[in-house]
Amino acid sequence: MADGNGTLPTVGFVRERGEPDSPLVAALLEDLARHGWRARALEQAPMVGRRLDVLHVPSAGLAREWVGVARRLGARTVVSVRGDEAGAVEPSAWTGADALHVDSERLAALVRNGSRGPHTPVVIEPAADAALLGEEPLAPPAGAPLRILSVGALSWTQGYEFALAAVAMLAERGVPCEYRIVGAGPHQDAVAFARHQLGLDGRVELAGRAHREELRSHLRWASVLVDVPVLAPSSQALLDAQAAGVAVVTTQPLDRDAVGALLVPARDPEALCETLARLAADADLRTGLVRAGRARALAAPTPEAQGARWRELYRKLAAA
Amino acid sequence: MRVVEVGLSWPPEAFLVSKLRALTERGMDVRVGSVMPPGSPAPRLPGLTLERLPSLGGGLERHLLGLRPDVLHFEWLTVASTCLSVLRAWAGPVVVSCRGSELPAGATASGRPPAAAIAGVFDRADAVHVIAETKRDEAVEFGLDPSKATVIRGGVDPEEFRPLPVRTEDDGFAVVSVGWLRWLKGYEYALLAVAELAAEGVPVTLDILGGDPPAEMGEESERVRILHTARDLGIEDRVRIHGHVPSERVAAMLQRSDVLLHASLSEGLPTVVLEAMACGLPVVATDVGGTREAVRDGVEGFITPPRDPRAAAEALRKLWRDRSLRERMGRAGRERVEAEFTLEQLTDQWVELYERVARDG
Repeated sequence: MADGNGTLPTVGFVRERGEPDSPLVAALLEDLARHGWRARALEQAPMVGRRLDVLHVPSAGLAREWVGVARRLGARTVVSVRGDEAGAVEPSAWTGADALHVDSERLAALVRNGSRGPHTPVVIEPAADAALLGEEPLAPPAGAPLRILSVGALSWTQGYEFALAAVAMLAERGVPCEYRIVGAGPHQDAVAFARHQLGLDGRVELAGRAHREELRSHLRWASVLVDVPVLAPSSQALLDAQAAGVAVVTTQPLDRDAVGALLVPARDPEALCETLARLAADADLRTGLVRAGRARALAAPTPEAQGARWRELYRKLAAA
Repeated sequence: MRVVEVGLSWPPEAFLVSKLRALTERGMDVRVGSVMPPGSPAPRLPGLTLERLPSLGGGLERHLLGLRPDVLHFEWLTVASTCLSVLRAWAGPVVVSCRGSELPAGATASGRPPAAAIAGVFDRADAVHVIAETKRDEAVEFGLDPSKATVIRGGVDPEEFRPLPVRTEDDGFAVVSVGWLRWLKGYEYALLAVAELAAEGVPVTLDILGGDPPAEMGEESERVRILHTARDLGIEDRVRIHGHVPSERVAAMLQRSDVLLHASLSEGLPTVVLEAMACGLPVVATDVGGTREAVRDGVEGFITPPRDPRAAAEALRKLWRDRSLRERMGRAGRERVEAEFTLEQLTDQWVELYERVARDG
């Protein structure tokens, strides 16, 4: 199923040294390979002269270093600004990039507000994980603790310290619960310290960064995804959870993202604790959320449709 | 007596400068040993002598022995834990300080010494200075023999930090926070507390005196987080970040404020709490580390749980509504500092510790 419109651009993806590819990059590498494109992940700058048409920097935090590399190589760049980065990473980091990508309109608005540059972010929404959608969600075993999951970089923008405070309150109320946080990042010490200070060492697991299959495994374990950032939501994490049949609690009152999700204010552990307690006690509420979430995930772009949007963007950049 | 202070940044933190100068004035020969980039100019600090130290692998041990110290003092446990080989090679008296947030509570904290290194330092040290009784108890969990521990709390110069009646009823409600822009300082919680008062129409402002953490701390600055949170909570016009300010300006700012808000998540015994008390300010501080050993809840201020902005807001609200309470608590704070936390008392305790360690090893 190779794309057949003349010479295909060569695309490079920046990978943090020793780290797995993000779910987006992993999906795009698969998609491009399926369509006969040449694409590879890069941990260090390739030699000048090796052909590279487009460099995709999947995190604004890596942009400052890599946009210059791309320029030296004569490649075009697209920088993906994640939800945990808008407002936290200086917009000057992506100065010189040829395109900015975000995965939601809300994030686009945040980036537009924070950036004085000429960029209008390109919105390419996440795709639902076909593997998760193909599975029948497992109902939690009777009497099982509420299994709470968060997915996203360990950054202050994710509001993890407030989520941990909510879990501590929940435990204090006698609601059986476990909490797992999947991700790594600069705020790791703060999150680990909060876990300790709130008496949650035995109840909360900091699972580190996850490969795609590991992430699926975490989602199969979870009964509720808590996504309570103080900035933009993690659209991919929300959609993955909904595809996996996991109830979602989040902070952002977006029409689309609110479908199949319970909303709580940011920085409000009491409200989050209250919502989680309701979910733990009310199987019907959980079932309704899961049903609505799965419907939303089914209506979301497929990986093929998402891949097509990316290929179109790469072609435009390479031709510019 | 010659005391060599190993591994301090240059210039050292203000509270260390005060201590070291006071020791010098008592006739002690104090050398401050810092590792500095080659060729970098050293600012002069009257009364203090800087020794440029080579790196650990570059002859540090030989250099320290050449200084012929009577006592080697590591003011930071983190530095001592990286110099364990030097400590073991030298037979002379060693004092190590255990302050602030260096003990790696939470287990995974990076940039802090591993537990085995801490235990090694405690084993080698002849005396371990702890900044508060709570820190001694924490250190014991990391292997400190309690008989080696000496509690010496902070101290301030009551002349430099003194009350100045410059506030009037019309000046609004000036809250001040002081400390590096680090996550440990809990600024987001301070902002939430201030936002609660602002929402009630209180003419509250928050001045934050603190700079970005230096590179050796290995942490991101909280500046962006603070600015974003203030904007998000709609109080950006009430919050000012002043950056790092010298101690004389800290004193002036405290004198112009109504209350010190210290929302820290982890502490030893914060010097700024003592400075505020000396300036006659009531203190609203979190119940962490040894803070409670300086501030009695309801006497010199209010002690609130960490990560509880509503409790902090309630304490601030009481102080805003009751000027006489502010004055009463401020007076109590000043009296407490004069009775227990002056630089002179602190210096007496240090001289006694150094003399004892030099004599008994």
